[in-house]
Amino acid sequence: MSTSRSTGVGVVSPGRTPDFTAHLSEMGLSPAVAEEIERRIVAIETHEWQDDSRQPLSASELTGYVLVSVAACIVGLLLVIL
Amino acid sequence: MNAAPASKPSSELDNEAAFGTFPLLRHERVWSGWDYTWVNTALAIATWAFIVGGSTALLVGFQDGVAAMIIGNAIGLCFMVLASTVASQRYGSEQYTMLRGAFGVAGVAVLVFTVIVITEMGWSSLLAVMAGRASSQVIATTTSAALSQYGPAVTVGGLLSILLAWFILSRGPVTLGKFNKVIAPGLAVITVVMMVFLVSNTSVGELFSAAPLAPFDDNTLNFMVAVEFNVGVGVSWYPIMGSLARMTSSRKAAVWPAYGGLFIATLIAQTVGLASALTLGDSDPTVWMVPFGGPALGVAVLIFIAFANITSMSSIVYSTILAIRQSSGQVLSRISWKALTALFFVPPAVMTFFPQFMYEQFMVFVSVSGAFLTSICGTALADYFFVRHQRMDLRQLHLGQRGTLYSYAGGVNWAGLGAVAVGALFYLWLYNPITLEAQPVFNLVTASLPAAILSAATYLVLMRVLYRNRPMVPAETTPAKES
Repeated sequence: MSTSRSTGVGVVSPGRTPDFTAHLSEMGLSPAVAEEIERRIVAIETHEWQDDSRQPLSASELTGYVLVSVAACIVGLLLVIL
Repeated sequence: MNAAPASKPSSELDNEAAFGTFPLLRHERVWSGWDYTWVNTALAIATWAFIVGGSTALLVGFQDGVAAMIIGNAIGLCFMVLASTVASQRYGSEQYTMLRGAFGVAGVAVLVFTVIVITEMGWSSLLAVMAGRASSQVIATTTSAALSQYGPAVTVGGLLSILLAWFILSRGPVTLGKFNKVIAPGLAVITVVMMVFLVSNTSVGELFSAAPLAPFDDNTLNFMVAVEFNVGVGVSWYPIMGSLARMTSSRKAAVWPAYGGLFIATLIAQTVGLASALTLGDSDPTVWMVPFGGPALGVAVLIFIAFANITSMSSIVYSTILAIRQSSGQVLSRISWKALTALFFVPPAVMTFFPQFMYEQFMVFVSVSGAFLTSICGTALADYFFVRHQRMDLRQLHLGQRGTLYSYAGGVNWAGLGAVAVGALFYLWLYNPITLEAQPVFNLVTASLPAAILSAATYLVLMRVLYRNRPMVPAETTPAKES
């Protein structure tokens, strides 16, 4: 069984995986395109995975976002009532 | 000539980059929050927003109409933005690739080639007809000819606008971006100008006391249908938002500008449409701009509106073509960008021959497409936040059926497609936009929100039943399927 490394952001798995590009090539992608996808994924894993932009939405961010939507709905309801 | 072989991989990579094949890296995610706000403003303030406001005026007066637009857009945008932008921003990847876990490779293609393509063709047709109406009005003003609102001049103008949209699109996303940088602020100014004309030619008292144009007997039903319609409008951005959000530099730059930009810009433009429909009897600025603004200013505004519709059309078709290309696997890889965009425009071109039909069926179109899009949003949210816990595997996403995490029998995750079907059917049971039949509970909870929640719950249950022993999140080392 062959293996490919995970790219869940936050899980570091540096290094190239020949199986991955081979699979992509078998799917019909050209070797150059497959190599480029691999290069980018490796760059994300090794250099960018700790970037703030690669982190998940936090519970507080999610809560704030939903609360703003609820507040907008309340404003709309007040407009109807008043 | 000797340079050709060496440049081939480079042009091939450029081509794939244009099609959104590659996950974007830090230096490529260049949109700040303000950049993305302008992009969303350019989309939201397009003239379709005037028609939405005008359609809302059929059911409710000004105050209730503004309230319905606030509530509807707040609900629709809330789950649409979460479902479309969050994953694409984090991974820098195009949104239909990110959906492979929820629907499978073939399942995504099924949705793209049905719900997404039909929805975006519908919007493109409407924009073409609106551009046609604007150009028809310009001709009528400059030549003093009596032209019908839905006559042949509208069709010719619509066809020309499609041709121009295709031309802009064929030049690539950079050209499109340049146009949007001019169009967005221009439309914002024009919307304010139109509001000034409206207020100066009518009165605030008249506006607030104006009766809705064609309401039902039940006032609560009128309000809830207006809310539901606006939820559908908010959700209708789903097909294109993820592909745009991957360009943003942070979560804040993606989520808030998507929500706030669309919400505020849409609301302003819709309010103009609502006010003009209630006081003048027509929401379409192409009808009343010349009488109010005079020939010179009126024609100038109409030309700008026509052009704005063309760039809006180019923007939504750009994102849709990315979706088509990404979800077709290698099937469409041999078709050039220009040919693919030209093919997409064929049905909208046909629809320009039926301009009146497009206008009259607008509410039905938005609501029916909303039934499916809300269910897709519910399913996508459940998958990303509750099943995957915001952790996806880029390699596995690209491997698709050759990987393990997002590979399903026949390429279809039946839990995802089943959840969408259940959600959409539930929506249509709660509120049928074609027959206008509604269940009593619709007056309390609308149809979109319950449909999205039901599709999410159905998805979670089906995933538990159908794929109980399957890993859902990437491990540090994930075995790949043997070829």
